[in-house]
Amino acid sequence: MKAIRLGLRAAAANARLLWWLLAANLALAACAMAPLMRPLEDSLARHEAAAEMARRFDTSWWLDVTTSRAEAFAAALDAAGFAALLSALLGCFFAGGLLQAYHDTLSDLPMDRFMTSCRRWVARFVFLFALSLPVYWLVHRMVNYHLALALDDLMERVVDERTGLALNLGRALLFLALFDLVTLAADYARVHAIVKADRSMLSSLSAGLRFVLGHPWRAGSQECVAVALQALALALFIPLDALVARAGGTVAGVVLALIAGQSFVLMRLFLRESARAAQVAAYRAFLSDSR
Amino acid sequence: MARALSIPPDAEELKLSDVEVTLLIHPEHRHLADRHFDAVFHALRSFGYWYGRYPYRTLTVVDPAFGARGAGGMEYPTLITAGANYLSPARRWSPEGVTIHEFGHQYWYGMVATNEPEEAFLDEGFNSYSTGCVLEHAYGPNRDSTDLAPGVAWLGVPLLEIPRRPDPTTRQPPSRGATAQLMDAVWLRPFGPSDDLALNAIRDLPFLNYANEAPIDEETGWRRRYLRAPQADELARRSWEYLDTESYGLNSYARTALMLRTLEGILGPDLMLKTMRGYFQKHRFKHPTVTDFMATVDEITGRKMEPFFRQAIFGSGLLDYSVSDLSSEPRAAPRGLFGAAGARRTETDAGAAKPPDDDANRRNKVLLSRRGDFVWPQDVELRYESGAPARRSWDGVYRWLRYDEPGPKLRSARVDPEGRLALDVNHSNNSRARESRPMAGITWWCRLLQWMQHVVYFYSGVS
Repeated sequence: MKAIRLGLRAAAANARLLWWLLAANLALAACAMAPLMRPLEDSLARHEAAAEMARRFDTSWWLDVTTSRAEAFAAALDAAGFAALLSALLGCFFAGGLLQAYHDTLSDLPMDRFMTSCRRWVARFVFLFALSLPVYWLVHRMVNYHLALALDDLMERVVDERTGLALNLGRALLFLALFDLVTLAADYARVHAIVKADRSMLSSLSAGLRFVLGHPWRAGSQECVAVALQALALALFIPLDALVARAGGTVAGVVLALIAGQSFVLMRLFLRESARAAQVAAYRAFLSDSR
Repeated sequence: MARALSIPPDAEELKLSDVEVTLLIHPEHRHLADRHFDAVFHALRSFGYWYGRYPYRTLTVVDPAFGARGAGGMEYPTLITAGANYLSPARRWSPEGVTIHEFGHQYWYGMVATNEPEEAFLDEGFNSYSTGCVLEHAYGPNRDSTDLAPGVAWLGVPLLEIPRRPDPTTRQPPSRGATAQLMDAVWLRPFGPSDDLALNAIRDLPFLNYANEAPIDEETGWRRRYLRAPQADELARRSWEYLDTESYGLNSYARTALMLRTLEGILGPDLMLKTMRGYFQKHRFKHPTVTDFMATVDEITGRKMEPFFRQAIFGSGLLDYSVSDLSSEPRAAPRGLFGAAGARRTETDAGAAKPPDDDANRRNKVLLSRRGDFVWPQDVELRYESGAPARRSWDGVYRWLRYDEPGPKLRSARVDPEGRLALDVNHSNNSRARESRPMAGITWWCRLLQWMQHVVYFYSGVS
């Protein structure tokens, strides 16, 4: 909890960086979804029930617009793929500056120093990302292919559906846990690289993995708190989102939805950066303990 | 189309037989037993009153084991296998849909014994249509839903499960970009359903992206399937002659149901009921073909429906009529040269006297278009800012038709105002309003933007 408290304070102290992250996030998402603005606008603007359909999802209309404008939607989905890849690379870029900020100081890091750190670490962190990709793939193949096939055979002998449901849910959760484990190990590899100024990503990855596996309680509990905070933010936002949706179809409604949506993304970014800063604090505490 | 076939008023005078229904159900599905029974009783009653009495004394419904789901959804005389999920939300037509459908096969294939391999649509399609009618009559037209309740969203339709209309013959989806392929290859797929429900949930935040309260009526369900490849095949093919399994399925089930729903729209619910009843009564315990069905329709309705069947059953053209343009402007002042030689004068925009802005001087222009090859007469409704709507008829033959007439200020126009033509592939272009409301579409774009922001957020955290 101490690390989380330190993390929250560090993320708050570097609030300016969060706005940069939000701007990058919004720009990427808007570029990816841009091909869909015109088809959606054209499809509803002259619809007799446009006002009502802005507030209430009409499955039949959605079917019409997605099939009659299939090419635009296909283009947008491809753009979404590109945006996802770009966001992963941008994540590698910003990580260096952010971690350096959390490591160096708990106060606001000057922008030029932030950008210098981003540039210094980006190539190494992209390399680290490339190293982790096969591990993600391996986890996917093991759980979603081999384990799924094995479970399929097993399912034929399962009579009670509740057992089957539990097995399927267990597999989904196992995948999620392993996926998170890989991410966590890579996160601590980045932290190790910054804190120890280790330029080798192979040794950083090894150190990150060792830390996560060697101190599962410390790393795991911190991750659980981070996930719980994200869930809490989501739980608070859902009713607000439903409320804002009622004003759909008007300029005020769109503005409200945008403000509410951006506030939520900003909150998520803040919580994630807090978790990242907490990782730095926890790793530093681990190093000082082991001295 | 918000409608449901009703039990004929004199139907209560008809006497249905007692039927002993046996349900063989697994212990963990015991809580669904009443839903199975209700579904069977609704089906017995509706099929009985609409088409004819169920003639057997027993009906056995088998709920297959979890590990034997492949045995579910099958029909045999007096015995059907259903299908149910332990988590069957009240607002979904499951297990009711399968139970009623399999019961329906007692009629369509059981008693009206059509040739399934050669004319699959005569039993699966007719039965899909009848199943839909029973479900709507018994449970209301909008019970099936993506209702957002804890856990239920998994079973619903996410807003962003965006369907893609593949090429009608190659069946290939629109080409995918290199990046999307790369992301798929390393399994960082940024969208689309997969087995990894938990991860998808964290990536997509379904509570924000699943459509809240989105009713899915039967017709929309059929259209979702039909629109995957509406031109891949003609409806009437032998099973092995369809392009592929998917085309067999969508033509035999969904498209046939839509064809019959369209026929119902054209004939009206009462005459449709009479026609289906007549077809069942005439051909039960026989082996009718599609020709027999068409002859029965002509005989009972007294109309020549060949133009409809030729296109709907033996063609693959799309039915798509739209209101392409609409305006309602004050008539411009006359401009040009007026008067005889000596008194000739020139009226220009600047000097012309503006005619009064009244109904007689207002020009209403409406452009209707036929976008597909399926030709069918259209009703057109013109709605004004004041006064009663006006109706027009269009034979629908030529590619377009323009109305240019004086009248009160036009508010909107609509083809097929009652939504009778369920086969229409794009309902949202059937109407057009004079006033533009761009914010409606932008609202949904903002929702997509929000989803994308969370996807971007997720991937920026992958290290």
